Amino acid sequence: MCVAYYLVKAGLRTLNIDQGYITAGTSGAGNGNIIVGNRQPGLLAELARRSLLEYERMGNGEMGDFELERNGSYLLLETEAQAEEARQLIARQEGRGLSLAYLSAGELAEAVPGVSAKLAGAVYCRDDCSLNPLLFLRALRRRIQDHGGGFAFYEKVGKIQRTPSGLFCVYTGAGTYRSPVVVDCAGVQARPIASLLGEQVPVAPNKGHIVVTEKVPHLRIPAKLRDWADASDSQEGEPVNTVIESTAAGNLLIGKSEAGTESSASVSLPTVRAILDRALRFLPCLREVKVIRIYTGLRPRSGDGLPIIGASAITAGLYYACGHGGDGVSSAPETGRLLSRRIAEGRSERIMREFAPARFIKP
Amino acid sequence: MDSDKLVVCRCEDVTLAEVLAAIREGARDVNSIKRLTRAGMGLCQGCICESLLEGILRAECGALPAAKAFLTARPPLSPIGVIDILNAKTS
Ligand SMILES: Cc1cc2nc3c(=O)[nH]c(=O)nc-3n(C[C@H](O)[C@H](O)[C@H](O)COP(=O)(O)OP(=O)(O)OC[C@H]3O[C@@H](n4cnc5c(N)ncnc54)[C@H](O)[C@@H]3O)c2cc1C
Ligand code: FES
Repeated sequence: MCVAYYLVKAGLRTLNIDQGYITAGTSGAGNGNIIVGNRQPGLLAELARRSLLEYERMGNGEMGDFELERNGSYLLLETEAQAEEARQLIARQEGRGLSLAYLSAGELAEAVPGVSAKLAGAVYCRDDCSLNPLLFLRALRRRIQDHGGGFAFYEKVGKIQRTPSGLFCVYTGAGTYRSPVVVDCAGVQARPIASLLGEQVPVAPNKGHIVVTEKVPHLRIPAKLRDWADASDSQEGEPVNTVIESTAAGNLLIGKSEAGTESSASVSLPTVRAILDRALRFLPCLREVKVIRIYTGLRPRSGDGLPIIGASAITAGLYYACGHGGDGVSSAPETGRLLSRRIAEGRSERIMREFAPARFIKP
Repeated sequence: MDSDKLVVCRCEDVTLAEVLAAIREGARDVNSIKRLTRAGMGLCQGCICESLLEGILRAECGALPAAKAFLTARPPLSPIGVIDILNAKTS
């Protein structure tokens, strides 16, 4: 959707084809966190930082409200070793414009009532934001339409062919659409779409579990709680680490798991246990809360964990914006902006080299 | 009765007017209506409102294939304590 938004703004005509409605994909199912502050500052953090500027610009102006909130997040530290690592990271970040602050255990307890007294402290990432993905998708759709962009919902792309004149013919069963440019933004389906044109793009589903609790207004947490540790293997079940946040309605969302390439949406009880078990280490009061829903979503993970953004090195006119894994919300606007510049003006900004499809698909 | 006073989902307090707006906007399956309006996301997880949503969508748009008529089933069947999940014996 972001790709179409920047393309129509650049004056091009677009058609978004989706097998469902705007909420059909992972974007309609995931959380809306924009994570700028990270343990490993790098390309993803840079995409997130730039995307945040775009989100802010959109939120301030034409798009209307999508509940963009600069509420920050707490990276929770369990051990003294983690605390030391965190202090070193903050020292290295000094002067780089990222606002991270170290909190002692006492300061954390004051900021987030209910956290475990056993924690060593936390890093507060002031720039981290959240938005309401549904409102954002709706706002994008309206803006794209206002600029003349079209939509074909509930149409599944089943075949793509090239005409002798170099146009793509996209067949959905309900319609046939011709265009000189096709962008593969099919999320976890990016691979089958690319294969319609004979390219093998390495995007595979990475399943995540989220546990939703009943509404607990008395336990509303002021900012997302995140685990300093990476997802690591639980005794049984899939690798998990902790993310806890309050929704606007007052439910808590407790995550999260990272499974290899599991493409079924089924819920694994051992994984849910591992998620809850770990979350209790940070927020013991969760013990008293009731779970109303457990759902899974599929993150579109690329072969090396970085998104795939840019022109195909083989098929002229084919572009990719996929493989964003667990960071698609954090990096969507900058992905759209970069790719639309490439398509509309033929200009590749330097950072795009790192995301080039050619690292996987070579002529 | 006024469609903005008629509540379709009691748990999440979603009115008929909101559901109709989601359909008018383009949603043509029950899961999309759920994601757009929160109808079906409440404590009963759609036990009460799911068939209403389906009925409204049929009345507005005609016949529906099964894939569009039902909410994706999500566990648990009814609310369960965190501690009960942790203590449950794996069968
Ligand atoms: C539980 C969970 C929590 C998450 N939380 C966060 C978070 O807090 N922050 C963050 O940055 N990221 C988060 N993510 C990751 C993020 O949601 C994804 O990276 C992002 O949504 C990917 O967007 P996308 O547009 O590439 O794919 P999608 O949103 O899946 O869009 C792909 C679209 O392509 C359509 N499509 C596929 N095949 C076809 C076809 N043949 N014909 C027509 N249409 C087709 C689909 O219907 C779909 O609408 C989370 C993911 C999960 C699972
Ligand atoms: S009535 Fe809709 S979720 Fe309970």
